[in-house]
Amino acid sequence: MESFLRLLEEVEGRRTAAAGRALIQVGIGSCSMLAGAVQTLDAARQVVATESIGANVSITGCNGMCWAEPLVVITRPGEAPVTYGQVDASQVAQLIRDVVVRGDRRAGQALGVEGAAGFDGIVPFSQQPFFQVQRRNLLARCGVIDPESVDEYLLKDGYAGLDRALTSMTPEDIVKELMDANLTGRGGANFPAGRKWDFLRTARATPKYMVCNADEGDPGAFVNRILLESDPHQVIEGMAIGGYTAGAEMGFIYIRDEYPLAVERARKAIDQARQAGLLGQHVLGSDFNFDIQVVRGAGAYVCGEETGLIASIQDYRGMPRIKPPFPAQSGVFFKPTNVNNVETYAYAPGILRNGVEWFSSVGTERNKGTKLFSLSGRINRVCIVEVDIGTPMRTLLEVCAGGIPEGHTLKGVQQGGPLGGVVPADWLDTAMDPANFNAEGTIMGSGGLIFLDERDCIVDICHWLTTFDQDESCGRCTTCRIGSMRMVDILGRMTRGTAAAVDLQILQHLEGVMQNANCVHGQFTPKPFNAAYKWFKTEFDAHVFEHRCPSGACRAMTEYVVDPAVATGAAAEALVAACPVRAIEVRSEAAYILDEKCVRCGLCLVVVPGAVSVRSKAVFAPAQREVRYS
Amino acid sequence: METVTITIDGEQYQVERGIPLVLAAERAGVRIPHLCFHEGLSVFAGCRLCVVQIDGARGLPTSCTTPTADGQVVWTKTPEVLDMQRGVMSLILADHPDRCLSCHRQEHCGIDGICLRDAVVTYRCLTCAKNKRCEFQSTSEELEMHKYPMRYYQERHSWYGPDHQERAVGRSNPFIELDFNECILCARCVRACDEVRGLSCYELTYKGPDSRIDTSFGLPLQAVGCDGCGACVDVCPVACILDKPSKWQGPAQRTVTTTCPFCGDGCQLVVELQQERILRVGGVKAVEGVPMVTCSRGRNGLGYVHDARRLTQPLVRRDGRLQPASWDEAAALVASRFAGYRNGGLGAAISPQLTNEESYAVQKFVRTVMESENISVTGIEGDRALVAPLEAALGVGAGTGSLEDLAAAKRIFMMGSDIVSTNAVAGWQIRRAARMNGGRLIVASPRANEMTKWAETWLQYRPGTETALLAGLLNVMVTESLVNAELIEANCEGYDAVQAAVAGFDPERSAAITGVAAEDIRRAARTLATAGGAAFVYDAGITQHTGATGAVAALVNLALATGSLGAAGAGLFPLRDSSNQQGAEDLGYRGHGGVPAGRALLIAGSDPLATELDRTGWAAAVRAAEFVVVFDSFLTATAAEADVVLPLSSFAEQDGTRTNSERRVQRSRAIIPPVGESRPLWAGFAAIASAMDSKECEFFDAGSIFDEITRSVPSYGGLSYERLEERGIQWPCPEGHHPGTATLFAEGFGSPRVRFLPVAAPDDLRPDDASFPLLLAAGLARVPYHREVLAAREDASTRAWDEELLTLRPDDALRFDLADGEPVTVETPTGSFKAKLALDDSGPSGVLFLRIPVLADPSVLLSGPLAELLDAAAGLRLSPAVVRPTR
Repeated sequence: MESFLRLLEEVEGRRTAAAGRALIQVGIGSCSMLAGAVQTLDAARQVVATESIGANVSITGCNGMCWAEPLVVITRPGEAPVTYGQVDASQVAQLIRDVVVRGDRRAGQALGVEGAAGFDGIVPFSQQPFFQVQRRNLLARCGVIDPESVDEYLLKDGYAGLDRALTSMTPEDIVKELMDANLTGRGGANFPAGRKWDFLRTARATPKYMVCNADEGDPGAFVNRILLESDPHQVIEGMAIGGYTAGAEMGFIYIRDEYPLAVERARKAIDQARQAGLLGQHVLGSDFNFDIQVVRGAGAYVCGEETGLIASIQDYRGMPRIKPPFPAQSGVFFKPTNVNNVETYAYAPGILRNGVEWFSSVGTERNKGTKLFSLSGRINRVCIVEVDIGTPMRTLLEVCAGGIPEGHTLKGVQQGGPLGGVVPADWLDTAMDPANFNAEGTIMGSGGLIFLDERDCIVDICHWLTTFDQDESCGRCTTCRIGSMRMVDILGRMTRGTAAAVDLQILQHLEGVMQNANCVHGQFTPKPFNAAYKWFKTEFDAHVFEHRCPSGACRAMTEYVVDPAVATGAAAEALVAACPVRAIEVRSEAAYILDEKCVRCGLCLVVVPGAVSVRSKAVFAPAQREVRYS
Repeated sequence: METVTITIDGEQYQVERGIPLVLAAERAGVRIPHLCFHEGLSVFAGCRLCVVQIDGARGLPTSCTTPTADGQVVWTKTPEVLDMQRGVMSLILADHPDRCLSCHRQEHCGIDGICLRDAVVTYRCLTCAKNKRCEFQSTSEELEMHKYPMRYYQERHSWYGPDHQERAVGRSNPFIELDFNECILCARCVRACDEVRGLSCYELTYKGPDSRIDTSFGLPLQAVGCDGCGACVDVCPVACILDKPSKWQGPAQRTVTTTCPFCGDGCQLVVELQQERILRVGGVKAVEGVPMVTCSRGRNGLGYVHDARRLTQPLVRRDGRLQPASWDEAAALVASRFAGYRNGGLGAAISPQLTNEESYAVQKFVRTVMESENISVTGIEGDRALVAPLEAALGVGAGTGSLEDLAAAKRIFMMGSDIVSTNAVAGWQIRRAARMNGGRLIVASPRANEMTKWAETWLQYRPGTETALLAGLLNVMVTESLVNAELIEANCEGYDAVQAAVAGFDPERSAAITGVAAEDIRRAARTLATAGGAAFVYDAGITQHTGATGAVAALVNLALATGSLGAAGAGLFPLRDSSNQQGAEDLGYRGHGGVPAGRALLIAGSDPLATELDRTGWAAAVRAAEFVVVFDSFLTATAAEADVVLPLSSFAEQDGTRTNSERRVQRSRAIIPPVGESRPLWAGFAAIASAMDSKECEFFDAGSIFDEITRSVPSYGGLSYERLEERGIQWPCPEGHHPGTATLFAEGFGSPRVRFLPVAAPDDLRPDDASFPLLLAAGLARVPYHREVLAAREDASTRAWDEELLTLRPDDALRFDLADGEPVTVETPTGSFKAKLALDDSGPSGVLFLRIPVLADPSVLLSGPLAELLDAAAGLRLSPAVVRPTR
């Protein structure tokens, strides 16, 4: 307690020294970097330096409004921070001059302001629907603090949970508190975290290890990334609390190498925490020792499976191990190990700091707290949000994601990653609760939601997901390795219109055989097909029995037809320029589509409305199957 | 072994607790189909074929990952189980290039008949090298896959066509051919190489549909450390990894298990025969959980028994030439001549590769019929010296532990030559200990070799300074009070004298003599002198130099001081070079290996004129002898000088027993009928003795001789062929129900007390004459398999002799301005010789290594004082030397 107070005093001292100036923060995260945020930051620094503007320029993380990147947050002395969206490098100088120097609010470009009250016509975030539907427990500091500064984390209640654990709680107390709060694993399996930590606590062998699974490989899921990039200390604090609870002195954060910024920020945060005495020997002056190492993944999806991840940490081939023994008995270096998701660890400090009630007062009967979702696909606003468990999917789509683009209708939602499935549009009013998904034989997963509209073909999506699963099989189990290859064969035949009725039976039998795989990767590989077939049977039947693709997405069964009357002259030139695969050229003064090059992306359909239309192409399927003996 | 009762398909069985269910069922006689599980290897659980139903368990668990537990009720043949197994099997079949196994016409044409359909020739089992000896094929038949329609067709139209990424067949290795197109990814080869052999020649690579097994880094086997041991061949269930020489020779007609005739490790070989010829050799599957082992030598080196140059009938010298004769004639001639040399007139020498029965017969003949004591064992110089000090100190002339315990040894001190190339299987156990089981390995060796790679500490001493190094180690233990004083006080005598002797050898002095850093000596001593003791492994590499017994005696002292005797995985492990050197000594041979005195000579099974270091001495003795009788399988250099040559059965044609380095007496079995009129040695002596009217050597078969041996050798007292049938027994085994002794002194020392041995440390061998700045160390090249030597030379399967004869470190070569491959002249105080220089940084600086090939006459390769250097049988000498370019 004393060490912690002393630390806070030091931090406070440093802050007062820097106070009294305007603060310009540029949101730097993987997504905003793609939108040019680094250039915006450079331009901001340049204008402040060259024009001697009395402001500090720093960075912050991502607040979840991915569609509005790059974000710039400007805080004038004594005022609440105002966030501006889509500020590229060419605009930032003028923005700073306007807001900081001239005092013009630029209210038109402002997204919102922190706090309860707005000013100058800027609506506070707390009164905007996007934020009103959210409960930002984990995201509280994301996009607010500088993720590369431990000071800012400490000033926002950081490490208070760890301090409470070390000074006034026994490991048993912490387990009890987590059990009371009913914090469950956020990676998708929903196993009670308190119970898991207790397994490790009671394991007899030493040393023990805490492992954080940040190998977020599901396409469309990026909730872990935002936490590690925008608030890494929250995860580190959670792991330290876990280490204290379970008696572990070493932790590993396994981050996929496709997240270089997360790796960098986690490493920086660990270094800072060590220097501040929050990691290393005698954490906060106590007898507890804990340190963390970042391990970079090597690109295998299956290393997100906990035993595969453990094998990978040990430099073995990334293959899930045989269970039992479970990680709590034999994990990293064959010692007791606990593996949790980033989100799960991130929740521990908040629960210890704010109490059980803070966490468990929201949610559904079976699952408490909030959950992060990353929304992408055919929606107006790609974003990351944190909502109470049990929030209807409709809220996510309509309020957060801004709905489906004009003129299109929602067909389904791909949830739970490539091992999840596709649920139909009539699920929109279903509450986002793992229990509701499990009841229907699918999973909610780790938070990635990809919205699909009528342009997407479910069979094609299934084929794509299963191909992903096939490519990411570790190769151990026959059933997974060869079974997924055969599934891809059959789904591929469906997308080409050459499948036969027996193929549906084979897929169903294959599903049974694939349950006999060692890990969930093999067992869940048939899930996308199962779920899709359950809710989109007509679409499969159209592919198998009628050899046509109702969505017009399956290449072999559709063709793009040019209306020569419309697609001439400038329209033709526009089509040629728009085609990303150069499948359109001008022939006889009209646009002409090279069918073998066309990937059916649909861009030409929107560039010049009416110039190109989609038509079903007849496929003459062989009577039985493509396969023949020799 | 703790047993539990489990029920399999309604029958109750007593099985071992905690072992994989699939193994327990197999031992109980219930086969559960499996492809990736293999006894002795870790569980991989990749094929998913071994599913069963267990009452109370969810779904269909794999029986390889399920340990046995009391009261388990297991069902292996329910419809659910069979359906799952067939589903899995048809998945594997869909990815395997054959059409026969799943073809419903199989009932009509049979698996190896003419195809009645249109399957391409290369898709049929008939054209597969593994046909009829294929585990995958038999498993598929067991599941009757041809009766069930194949569900999972794959879209590849052809396995060998352009749409299939066919993998090139690896044909570059002389022993093993790789064709991964058939691979089912069971990973047995990966595990066998890693876990049994301690290497990693194979690995799983890529993922998803591209998953494959490949050699490490995709390089040819010989480039990734493969020694051709064939563990991968033994375990491969399909036709991916096969012995190259016998790949297309089909299945065996019968198999015989026997003991390898080569080194003292005494591996069990499974010899496959076709038309009474050796077809191929494999390791035994697994005995009591000890995984299969055999090295390239046993696997690929037995072909000599079929050599066309084998002697098929006796030869008798008439008119100065050896001419064919009948056995009766030859026996009568030998009998009549031998009659004149009774009572000391006969000198005899036998090979250390003979069976116990053969050596016993010779000994009995020489001692009782000929009344002579001049009898010795030929072979590697100093092999006898490996255990003589043990006999003096402990009263037992043999190693004290078991080789397989070495794999779990916690601390190992290794001294001698490159054990992985001489006693490969013992070497692997040590490598496993160091690599996987946390064993701390300390290697004392002048040159870098395979084991120094795995050593925690490598003590690179200058050749000839072994005793100084060992004295330094003991000195550290004494001064730091690390010795097991209680044990020494209670059981040992002579400690004070030894303590006084090493008092002056502090690590600094030892370091000055040996060239090893003093800190390394200290660290090694502290590691070794920890409670629980250490294993001291050594071979003839340390006894070839002068002062040989000194080094072994010093090792005995270290073992006693550290209290290493009596614990499993600790103690003294002399590794014998010959397959039955130990047995010959157990039967009373104590000759030091020199030329036996006698006016007549009897040489059985060895070729001293070609293989002994003292070739000149032997040649003189043979020429001077009045009458020379040679028993051999080939017309060797020695046999060519004899008066009578009697054809000897090779190891493959006779029954008997051999005793290996760990005192294990094992059966050696007749594999093929005798070649020509060749006979086992005992049968030959029975004929000669009977021609001499003696009743002493009436031998009828090997078994009766063994019974005689058990009556006269107390430690063999409880042995019999019946008891040795399964696996050998380690002596002492004094009576019929004694289980044998894996570790000597496990029950304490008893009385009499054991003795520390006095050791005189040699002086500093560093050359002090400035005109001879280098030290020349000559060593005998290996592969002297005595009576097998002729065949071995011709057999392509023995290790290639690609090592250079004269080697020097590159930095030393720079000092003398010499280049690699340069012809040089080596000068010593007594003369000079010429050789080609090779640069090699494996040795210590300032030392010139010379390998003396066994087979070649040194005078052909070198000229000058080498003969002096190697004179007599006194061991290999060290000499100051200088090397200059030849002009």
